[in-house]
Amino acid sequence: MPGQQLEQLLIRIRDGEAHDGALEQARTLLRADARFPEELRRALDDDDEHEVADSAAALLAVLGADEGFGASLADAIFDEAGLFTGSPGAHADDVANDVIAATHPNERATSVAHAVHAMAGDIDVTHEVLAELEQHMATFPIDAAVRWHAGSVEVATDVLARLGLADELAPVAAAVTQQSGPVDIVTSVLSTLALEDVQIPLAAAIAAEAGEVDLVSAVMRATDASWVSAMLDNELDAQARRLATQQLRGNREALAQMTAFADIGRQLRSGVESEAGDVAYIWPAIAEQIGIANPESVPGWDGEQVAAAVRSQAGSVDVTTAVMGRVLSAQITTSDDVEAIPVPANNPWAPALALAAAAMFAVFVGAPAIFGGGASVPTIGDTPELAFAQSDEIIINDLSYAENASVQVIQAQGENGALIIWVDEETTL
Amino acid sequence: MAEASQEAKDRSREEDVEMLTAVRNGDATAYRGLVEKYQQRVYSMVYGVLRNREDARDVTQDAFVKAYNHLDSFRLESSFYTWLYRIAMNLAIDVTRKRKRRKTTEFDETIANRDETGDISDMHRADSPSKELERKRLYAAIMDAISKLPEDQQQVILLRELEGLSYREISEIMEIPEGTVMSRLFYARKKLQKLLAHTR
Repeated sequence: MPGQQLEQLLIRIRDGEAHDGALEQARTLLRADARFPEELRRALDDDDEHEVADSAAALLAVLGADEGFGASLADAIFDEAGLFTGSPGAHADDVANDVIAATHPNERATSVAHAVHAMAGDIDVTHEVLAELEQHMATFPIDAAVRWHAGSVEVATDVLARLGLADELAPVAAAVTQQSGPVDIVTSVLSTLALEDVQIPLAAAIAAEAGEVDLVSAVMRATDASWVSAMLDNELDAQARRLATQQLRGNREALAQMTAFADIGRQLRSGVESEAGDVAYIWPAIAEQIGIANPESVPGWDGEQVAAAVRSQAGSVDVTTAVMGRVLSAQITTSDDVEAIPVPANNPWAPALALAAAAMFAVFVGAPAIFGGGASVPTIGDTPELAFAQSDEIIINDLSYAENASVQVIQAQGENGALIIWVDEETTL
Repeated sequence: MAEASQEAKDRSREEDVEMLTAVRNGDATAYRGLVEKYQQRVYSMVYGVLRNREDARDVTQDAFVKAYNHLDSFRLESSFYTWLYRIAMNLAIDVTRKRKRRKTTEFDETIANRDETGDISDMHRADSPSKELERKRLYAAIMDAISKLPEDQQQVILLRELEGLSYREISEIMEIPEGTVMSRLFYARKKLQKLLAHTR
């Protein structure tokens, strides 16, 4: 059959094994073969045997019959187009293989191969390849993807939202729009197209078109340096903090501003701390308002029970009568070894007598009654002997446990110190 | 160090939950622990707004009472003190608004301050240029400048500078996004810097 015969001849021509008549025969069959577009039917008309071999490979590729299509096509493209010459690290082989792999590797890449071969020798191959890829990727054309990511308001909105500046859209949006086209956008585009692992210089081509921009820095410069405040408060994430630090190194104005912010905060804190002082004890007032009757109550501790216990032990005493009785009827004996009780110069004699009487009362009555002991309560008319202990310095503690009572505990220092309890006359025990 | 700070915050929150649970179970006296724990901080912040000890004390008390009366609406998984701060801040703002409506002259726009009794006294004494006086002068100037800020900027500057709250915590208290906290703080500080330029 003519088709199979042509294929056989093309294979021999490709491999350099064709006899003289094979090339002419192939030319004849090719011109009549409807499987090829018109412009390809004279592809074998070249006299150069290398060119002819390459053309044969390409024709076989069109037919899907060339297993080594990739390398052959790459050679053809490279020879014809000089494609991506100068691109760092670009190789025509990679381009050809990757372009094919990016499209439909399991199908006959008829149209792509046709397009690439047809446009060989022109930098527009890039454009044509993209155009062809767009046809096979109808859901997300590359140009639309780039247009969507680069220079659009969405980028501005995303950045503004990330920096929390959504309320200040107008000038920042304009700044970001002007700065559109960073490399990150290219990565995003390729990722969207699932081409991030494909080693094709599309990224380089797009980056060459869009340029590289440090978008974050650009936005920072356009947004009144509000990051200065966040930097002071240690509220920037690691990446933003690095960028902010770089900005500060070369920006004296920002550094001065941050210093001024810190000074204001420090003076404010110092001033309020000094002026406000400590808050008063507010719990009782709060407790009253929320319905707690006794804010000082301690669960399990009932002061009334203690008072009742003391009363039951001490009984009732007419303090005044008892004191006066002792003062008027007692025979006071003194010991030569005992120093006279010092009387404060500014106090009259009567309080001192009363104090002494109370001391006697406490020692003989009150102390045993409260702290235990077997002393009986003396009555008026008894004439006990009073022996005053030596005293020099005294320590007075004032205890108030009820509204109408005042209890003073007076204790003399020294080994012979006596415990004296001074009880106010309004108190009942 | 950040971890230690977070651990302390977690422990503090656990303590709050324990006390709040006790209160909800009928032990009103357990609320005392919360009062004593936060009274100084709330008072200092409210004082920063009101600049009057008596008013600050009253508002602090009112805030705790109000929080107690609305404990049923508080979710235990939330932060009690941010909720309390919100209540206190709103009460303080209410007081300042009432003052403005009364057009009180309590807060003189000139360099004046209150003494320890809460009375206004003129502390701008040319014959006492001590460091303490200078500090008071600067403080008065700062508070005067803060009073000129919009309410929302006043709140963020006080919550940040007096309480050292994070942007997240401030955003919870004021119920605004963190980004808005950042921008308000920046503009508040910038304006204060401008207002205070002549005092330095």
